[in-house]
Amino acid sequence: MSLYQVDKLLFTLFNNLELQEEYKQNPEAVLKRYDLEDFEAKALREVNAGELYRMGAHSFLLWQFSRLMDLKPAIYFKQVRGD
Amino acid sequence: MGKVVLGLAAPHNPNITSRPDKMSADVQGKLDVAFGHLKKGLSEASPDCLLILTSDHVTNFFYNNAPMFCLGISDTCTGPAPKEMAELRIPRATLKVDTTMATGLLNYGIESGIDFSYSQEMILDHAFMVPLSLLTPRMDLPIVPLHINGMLPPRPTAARCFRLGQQIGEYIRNHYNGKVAVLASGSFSGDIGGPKMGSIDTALDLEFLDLVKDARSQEMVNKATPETLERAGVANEILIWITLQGVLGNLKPSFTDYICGKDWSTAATLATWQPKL
Repeated sequence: MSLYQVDKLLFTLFNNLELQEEYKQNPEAVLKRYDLEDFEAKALREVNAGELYRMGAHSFLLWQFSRLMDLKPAIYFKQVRGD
Repeated sequence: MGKVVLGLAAPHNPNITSRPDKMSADVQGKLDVAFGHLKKGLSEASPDCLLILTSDHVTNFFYNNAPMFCLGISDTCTGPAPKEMAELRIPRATLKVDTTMATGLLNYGIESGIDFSYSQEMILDHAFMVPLSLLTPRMDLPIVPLHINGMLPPRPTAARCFRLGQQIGEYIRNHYNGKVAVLASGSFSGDIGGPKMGSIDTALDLEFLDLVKDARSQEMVNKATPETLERAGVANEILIWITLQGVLGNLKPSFTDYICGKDWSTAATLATWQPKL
């Protein structure tokens, strides 16, 4: 588990507009700069909020990530609640 | 010696400034009236300094360095953060910090048992800027920003926050020369990004508000257990109100209001305390 690395990426994305742009253009280049397990990178790549929430990602940062990635709020809530 | 001339509590829900067009006329009207009441109180109290108690929203602090209490002590502080400029619709502003108070409080705290952290680079995110933009839109009142950890558990205990508030009051009354208004920025429950987002825990909010109305500070402290704070959600700001109550002692508010907007995930709770001078 490298949950800290997941949160660190979410935190850095939340606060760094240039990184946000880069992530939108080329997520793989950004993901490989963090020490992530394969399943963590996969969940981030797929914007799988439910998976990220259940592995313990910080929920406030996760919400900001979902907005950055244009995940519809209804889908976000459904995923996080595990409906 | 110094005086606490006013206590204020106001929300910083970004919806208040970011999407007023999506807000119902009824909610907008209630917010205008309530914020107008606080703004008038602040103007009449004419403080030399506004001490702002709130929790950083993972802008300045993260798991790499997460202080419980952090004072901004630089000559000026700027906000909002670049990431939230477009959404908030609040112009970027640089505010003067009352460094006499900020450094005085820092040193007083350390001498008397509150080991504050401090920052020369504190960014004022929306938790500061939303209420500031509505209460002092000219941004010309010197401030002291004080972060109280709410979003990166473990949080400080409620008893510790209450004691912090008491010590802030002692510092102002015994060591500061001027008039201070103290603003608690935040509402009670709020699970932003968590599974309870989208609904407001009105029952919990109103239980706390009842305690606030009667200044039942010991009950506030007793109620704010880690379990209650967990129920109140990742972005709950109950500890901020408890800190303010510590500053104000047993003073009851002269005004309170509780406003819920459609689709909000946290209610707007506002209050004013007017100490006898």
